[in-house]
Amino acid sequence: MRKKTVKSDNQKKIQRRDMLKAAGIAAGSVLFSKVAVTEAKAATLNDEYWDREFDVIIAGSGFAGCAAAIAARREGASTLVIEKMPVFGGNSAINGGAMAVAGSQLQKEKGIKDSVELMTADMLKGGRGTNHVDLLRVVCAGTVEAFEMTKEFGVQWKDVLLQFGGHSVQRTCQTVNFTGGDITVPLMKGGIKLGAIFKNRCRLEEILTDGNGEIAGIVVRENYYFPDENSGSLRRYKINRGFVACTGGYGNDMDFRTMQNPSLDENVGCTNHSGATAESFHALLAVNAAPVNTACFQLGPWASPDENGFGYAPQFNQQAAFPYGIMVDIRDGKRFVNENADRKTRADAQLKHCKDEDGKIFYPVAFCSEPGIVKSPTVKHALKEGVAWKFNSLEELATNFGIPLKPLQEQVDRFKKFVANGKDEEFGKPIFEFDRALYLDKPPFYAMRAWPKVHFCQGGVNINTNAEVTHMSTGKPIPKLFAAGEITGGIHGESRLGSCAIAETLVMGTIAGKNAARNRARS
Amino acid sequence: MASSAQTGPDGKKVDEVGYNPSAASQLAEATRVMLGERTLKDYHKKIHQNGTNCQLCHSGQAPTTPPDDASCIRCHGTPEQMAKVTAKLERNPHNAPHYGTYMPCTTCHKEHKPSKVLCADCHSFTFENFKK
Repeated sequence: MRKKTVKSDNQKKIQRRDMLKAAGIAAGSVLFSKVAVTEAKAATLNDEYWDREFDVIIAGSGFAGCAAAIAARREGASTLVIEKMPVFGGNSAINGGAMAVAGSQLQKEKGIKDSVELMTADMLKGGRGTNHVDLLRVVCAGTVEAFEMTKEFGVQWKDVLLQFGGHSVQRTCQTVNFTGGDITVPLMKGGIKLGAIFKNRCRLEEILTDGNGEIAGIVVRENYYFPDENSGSLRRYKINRGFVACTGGYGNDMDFRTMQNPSLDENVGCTNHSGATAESFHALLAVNAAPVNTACFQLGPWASPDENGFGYAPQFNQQAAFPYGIMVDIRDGKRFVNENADRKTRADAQLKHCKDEDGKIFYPVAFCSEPGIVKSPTVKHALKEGVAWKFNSLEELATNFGIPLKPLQEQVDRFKKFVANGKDEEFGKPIFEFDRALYLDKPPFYAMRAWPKVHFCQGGVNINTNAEVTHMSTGKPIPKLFAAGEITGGIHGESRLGSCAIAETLVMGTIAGKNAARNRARS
Repeated sequence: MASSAQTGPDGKKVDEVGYNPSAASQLAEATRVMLGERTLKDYHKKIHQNGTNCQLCHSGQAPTTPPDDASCIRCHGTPEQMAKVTAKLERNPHNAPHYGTYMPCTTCHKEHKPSKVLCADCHSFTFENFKK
């Protein structure tokens, strides 16, 4: 047993004996974490057992974790946020910084009619009707407040609205640098200012319960040096009011991912950071959290095979090429999907249309004219790094990618006609009257190759509208256990719409942090 | 999972004594360096006496965990100061839009293995003066 303070041998022996007694296990060589999960009685878990103590502990420092920390501190709970990586923010920090808000001030100024009901309906359609609707409503209804909260902590938003795939109106706001770091950094600073402690290189190893199935604390690995499993040292933290799991998805956990869906092997790219692994999900399952949709992974249709991870392509394709340009199959120069459909529709179409019988991939090309890229300033980086290319004629573009010019020219002409008429007769893509100047027209053209990468875990643990994690056999909330963000499943059903992750994580993170802190009855 | 208290290469418990290598373990460490088992950066060799003064960076901890930023800061300045040093670069690695200045030095800078910028996980840009 290791404790922070140095103890005499005698003290150590006593401590060890207590621990074994508490667990009711005689075998002295049993690993202490296994001992602990054997639901030791609360009464015997004396203060000696614990290294540190907090009212609320939040695992994960992304959008949900930051929002939860702020909410918990505002309720006056002593709050610790643990982050296993050296850097804070997880996937949120490298996300595109786009947030859907139903009924924002900006929408009102631009005369765009939107409502909680409309956003709920859009997300339900995108999720193929499999969403947990009660949660979905809570998320959509909370977006305005969550958006205002970010501004309160100094998050800067652009004065532009976007319409991502599957949304029926322009409701997506984006941060000034087009990245989630614009949100996580100020929220973390805000949380620290309010008195929350953010501790990096500290990994959740195990959730400890008492005899009643209630969360008593957690085992963490301090000084964890990702990905070295044996680095650092184990400590036990006591939790008085609630544990909030905001540990994100497991899209980059190859063992778990291929177990759930063997077709998503290492040949399929992933936009996630390297720490997006499943061990926290396992820890939640070990305390009987109910799983939802674990095999359901969302593929991002706007990623590029020409860069690693998230990179620059998602910005360019979502902001410019997909809404204002076209995506074509390089073999026949024709479109094959509504480029602004929801993510699942587009990714499924890419995988279906752009492979031959032997599985050989022909990466489709998405491109737009120069006015379109005004919506995507980061394209300058993509151009420099060989992820996007600029062409001075359609012929040049066709030659570069080996696309037959004649059908491509015909396709471009057809699309220009659709734009002029305000109706996409091929695939029903929305044509925005007020943005008509931005659509595909004259050279120069900006192009990228687009290919799906694993982006988001639709699945996770089940929560109720209080963000309480439910028990897999009783269906009731597990006392003192909360979760928010990508680690939870159900809200987005089978497919999440773009820019709904920030909305969801901020809303549910706030609810989880608040409810965990208010859980005084047990403290 | 739980082992006994961390020990330095000399077998002494770190928690109890703080890490202060004996002459023998310093020699052993120097041998590891010579054999290439422990890589060292040329520009740091002078400071940690060719890898024999672990304490300089690892403080009282066993040299099995990455050093605290405080050790780097003593010579290189705070993250905020470092951000100013590299502020003119097209992309400032010490003040990235994703993390601001909240990045432990050892995220990218390694002494005992090749250094690698975190940015490279997603981006292909490089930093000319970054010492690998």
